[in-house]
Amino acid sequence: MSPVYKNGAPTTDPDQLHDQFNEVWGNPCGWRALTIVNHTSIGLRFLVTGGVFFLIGGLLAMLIRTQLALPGYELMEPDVYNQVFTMHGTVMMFLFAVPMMEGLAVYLIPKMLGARDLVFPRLSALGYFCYLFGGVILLSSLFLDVAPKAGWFMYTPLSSSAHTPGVNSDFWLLGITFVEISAVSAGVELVVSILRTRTNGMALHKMPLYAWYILVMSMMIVVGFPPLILGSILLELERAADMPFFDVARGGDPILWQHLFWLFGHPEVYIIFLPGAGIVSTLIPVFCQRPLVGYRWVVLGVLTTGFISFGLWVHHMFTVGIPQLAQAFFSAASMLVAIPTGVQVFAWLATLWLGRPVYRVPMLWLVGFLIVFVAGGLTGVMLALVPFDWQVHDTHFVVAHMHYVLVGGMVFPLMAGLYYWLPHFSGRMPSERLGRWGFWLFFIGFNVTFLIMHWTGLIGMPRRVYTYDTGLGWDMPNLVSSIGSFIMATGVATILLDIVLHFRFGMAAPKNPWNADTLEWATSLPPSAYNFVSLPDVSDRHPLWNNPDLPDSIARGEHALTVIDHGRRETWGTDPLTGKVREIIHLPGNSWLPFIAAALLAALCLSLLNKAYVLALVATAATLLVLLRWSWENGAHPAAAPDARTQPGEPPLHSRTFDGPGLWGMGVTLLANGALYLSLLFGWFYLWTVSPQWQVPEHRLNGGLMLASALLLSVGSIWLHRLIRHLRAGSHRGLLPQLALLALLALVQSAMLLWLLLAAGLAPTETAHDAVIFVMLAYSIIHCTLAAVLTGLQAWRVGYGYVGDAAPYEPVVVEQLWYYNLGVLWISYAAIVLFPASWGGA
Amino acid sequence: MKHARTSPYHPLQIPIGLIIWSLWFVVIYGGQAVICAVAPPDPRQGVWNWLNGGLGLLTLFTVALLLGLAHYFWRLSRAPRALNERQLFVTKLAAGIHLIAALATLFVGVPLLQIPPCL
Amino acid sequence: MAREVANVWWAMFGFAVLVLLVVSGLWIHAMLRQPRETGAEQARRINRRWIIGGGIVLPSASIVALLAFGIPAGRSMLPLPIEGEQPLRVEVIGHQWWWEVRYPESGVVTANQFILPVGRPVDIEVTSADVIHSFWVPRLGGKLDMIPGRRNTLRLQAAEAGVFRGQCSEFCGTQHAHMVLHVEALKQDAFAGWIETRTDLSHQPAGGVAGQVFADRCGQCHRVAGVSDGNRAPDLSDLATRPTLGAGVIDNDAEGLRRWLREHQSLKHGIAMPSHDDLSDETLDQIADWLETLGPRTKQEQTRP
Repeated sequence: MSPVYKNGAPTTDPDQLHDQFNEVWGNPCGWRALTIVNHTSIGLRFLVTGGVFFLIGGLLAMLIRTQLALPGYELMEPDVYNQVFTMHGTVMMFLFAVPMMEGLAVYLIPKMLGARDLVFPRLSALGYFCYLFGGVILLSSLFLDVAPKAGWFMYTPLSSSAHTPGVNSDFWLLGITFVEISAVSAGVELVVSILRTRTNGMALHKMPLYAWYILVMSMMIVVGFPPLILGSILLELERAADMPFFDVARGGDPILWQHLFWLFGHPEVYIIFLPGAGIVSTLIPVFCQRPLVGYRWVVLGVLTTGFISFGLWVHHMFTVGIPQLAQAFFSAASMLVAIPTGVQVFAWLATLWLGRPVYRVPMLWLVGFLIVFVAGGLTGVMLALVPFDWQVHDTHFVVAHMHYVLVGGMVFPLMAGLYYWLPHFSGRMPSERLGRWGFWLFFIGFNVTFLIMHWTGLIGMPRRVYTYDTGLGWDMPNLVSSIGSFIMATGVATILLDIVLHFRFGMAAPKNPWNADTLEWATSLPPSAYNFVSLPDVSDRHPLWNNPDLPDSIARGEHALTVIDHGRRETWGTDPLTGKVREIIHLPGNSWLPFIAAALLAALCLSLLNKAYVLALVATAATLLVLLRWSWENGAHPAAAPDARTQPGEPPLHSRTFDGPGLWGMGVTLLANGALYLSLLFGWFYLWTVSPQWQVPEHRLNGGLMLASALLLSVGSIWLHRLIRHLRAGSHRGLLPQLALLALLALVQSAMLLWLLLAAGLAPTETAHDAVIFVMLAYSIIHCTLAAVLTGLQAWRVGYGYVGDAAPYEPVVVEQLWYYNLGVLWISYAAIVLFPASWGGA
Repeated sequence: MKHARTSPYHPLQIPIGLIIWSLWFVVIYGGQAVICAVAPPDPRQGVWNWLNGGLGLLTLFTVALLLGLAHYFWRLSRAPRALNERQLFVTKLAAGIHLIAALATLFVGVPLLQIPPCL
Repeated sequence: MAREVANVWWAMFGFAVLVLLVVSGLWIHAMLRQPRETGAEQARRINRRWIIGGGIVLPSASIVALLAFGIPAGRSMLPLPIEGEQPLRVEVIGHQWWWEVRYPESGVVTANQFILPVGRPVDIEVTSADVIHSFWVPRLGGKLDMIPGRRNTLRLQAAEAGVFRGQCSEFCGTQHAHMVLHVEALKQDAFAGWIETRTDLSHQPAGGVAGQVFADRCGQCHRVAGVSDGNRAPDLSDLATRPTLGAGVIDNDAEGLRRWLREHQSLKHGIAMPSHDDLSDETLDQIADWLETLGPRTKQEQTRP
């Protein structure tokens, strides 16, 4: 049914083909390794860095367990202990769990989809460096004895400058926000890659299940992280500029922070768990040698989990005094999430029931996963019951539950996955014996540590105490937990040893060693930078079971897109629904730009930490320049794709169409941005209705000016829309002057907003009311100015001939930003001008 | 080849049930929060007050809507003319999602019968 | 109340263990069994049975059951209007890291101890003077956060007389571990006596240097009825009857009090009370002697725990 793209390759000798491809795709060595943008290298870097952070987080956990082993034992002073447990949680959540799962997805997704790379390779590199630098900055605080110490959820006012005056909290707020750039950018990239770069014929219902899981996880990251980013920005503004978003006396409310934090924090749990479940759904069919039963059921479960997990956040806040009816909604929703999880568990069970599973080390970890995770899920359902939660909230019961869910739902599947894909990373098989020892030590140690901890909490031990008195019945369970934690640590050491040794002594992996069904095993082991010399067509969900010869025929160049003499890095751009080829996506090559941009962002982060605001401004400007420079190499630019010719019968290059991946990338990014803005809007209405001492100052905003600015933006958007309609019709007459005029219009319109802001007489340090308005206006000013700059840049590029009717790809990308700004400005107008007027009248 | 986004076979139909659920959830949570701040009903009325009643009616309406849509997609998946594999996937999945969303709405709405608001 | 929750817990625990054993058992059995070859149609039937039965029916039934008897259990903690004798109102205010306890009806103020009558509901209005704390007496009931700017009300009722332990359960900074509340339920008449002997208390200042030092330094933060009016630190008016010092750090006896006055910064690092290193032992002992006299008006021994 679908056209088969097959080009007469100039050669079918795999070695010769490899050399040709390596010339275009190959990774440089030495210092220039920092320029690598390839997803295989970036994915491995994420995994290794995440592993190192895991070991550091684990060491912190050992310190905690040592301190708590005996009553009254003070290995660390209370302030040091508080830093250690805060950093343990922070490192494990933000520097280990999420980046590790994203790293694995970055590594696997293109290979599973039969693509050569992710769609925005340079963005992957930027994300990695942001993660690395942010993580290092955050960890450096431990060695300077100024680590965050208000708990990993940073409840204000404890984390505010009145109660934590040093830079401790700033390290958290700035460092984590920095790291989250990487999380969100990887999220955007994975969404677009999964939707747009599947190989020919891989329709939506033929995707590997892992891709479904990662699609949902990435969408959740895109929507779920922005509330925390906003919260961190607001709290940092409160600490640095004294804007009282969370200060009751000036009309703020500390509970707003909790809402923003958990609005992120609960989906986060599923962001970690879903990829873990995705690994389980990938491995079980392979070890049973039959397809997973109930593909549709599992997709249903994953989607449902993704949505419902956004309706649970208040179950972390059952004790803050929210009306019981509202608590009951969240309580019911929290229990509800057991159903889609149950569907998956029983789909796995049914697969095992019908298959004849093979017992290898990954399978062992899967059994461990099931037992630990189901136990954690059951205590989770208990905690969703409000009266029970009132009893055990903030005790060690919750600590135990959370470790059962997170270690069970994430670490066990991850270990299974690591053992499973280890031959893929290294080309060698791990040792069965050492692997089994590692598993049993970890499994037994884990349960000894955390099973009894439920009891410790039930008899009343709160979490986060640096010591406890003897005679309360807490001594024995704590000692048992500490012993267990050391057993678990030896397990980790054994696994580490196994992995290190396998590089030296492991047997060379045979082709497709587990007889898997998915395309990642069709690459060479370890894979080359381009994954596949030729891109195969796919007709069902199990390409390698259907055609075990695929690895060889791919290497011989018997499939599509094998011509490389044009020097472009190319992969298929396909229809998100049918998986039919629509265009050729050409990808940018290695570059210093991501590294430089990340380094400049690190400089920004450091100068903010040191309150060197002039320097921060310089760093911001420099970052912006680098990013604009980055965007310059696009379209028909000589470094991108100056020559648009493709092989006969092949579709056009994406930069010659109106529907390139950039359009999708912009759309998904704006979705994230919209989630951020909606969180701000939520904060505004929340404070207005709930804040205990909300104050509305006398002065009024100049509503007329804001209206004028919004109208001007509307006119501009309509104009741009018409302009692009002409471009779509194939005419680029007057494109340059009109784009330039539009840029000017956007500039004027932003200037009006700026004037509004300056002339409003706001006192953002005196009331939360003014502080929120300030942020809302600043948000629009920044975005509208950005639209002006980008539109101006487009005009300039038209002048160079990089953009035009031949390469019309970019203006439609910028167009989306205009519409977004338009929507935001009108909503802001309604929220800060119309709403207060009507409320006051009521 | 174009797929109209309004076509019942377009995958955009898949998440709509859960999006309706999300909107309903925002309305009942936000609604009770705002009304409790502005004009809380008398706690002596127990659960039989206008706030619980109003939210309850909304819940029933949403459940009915979701069930109707689930039924619609289920019928589509059994259409007399043969569907291709992809259309079958979309319609069956959409039917399932709408059904689950209806159950979720019903389930989360039950406390309206048990707990008075604003306390 | 706590009893009801305990019953809920044991029921849930039993059920959860059952589910865990059954699911893990099934899983392991599924792995070990040697299945016969199954046809596609039969396989579909088996699958559907597992997924619908185990994945949808089982969890749905469990959570319906859980909600049915779980939600009513929470109602008794709601401050609903009640008939007959009205609940006793008590205000508890969290500070870093101690508890201020006020009985607004009689004007009695104390710290780090919370005395309540048996058999009468008590509405505890909790709030905080600085960061978020959480009020929790495990054996009496659930916890409720103490949030600056908000007043949350928790209804508790002690079924029998006794001593209970309360502890702050929301992380509140350096000494979160040392924020213990002594809770005691007294028979109704004993409670009335407890209140009565503390109502309108007035003490005499200490004599000599001790009195001067107390007025210049301690009194700026501590209130002693009739002597000083500080409001940033615990009220000391009935200090002598409290079982511990520093919110559970050290026993309140002759030795403990003297140690606390000298070593409070090392016993409870980070607290706001400045070091007394510049005061002579003699002065500190005099202050301690005087502090030991601060108790309720009469029947002092009777109420001493």
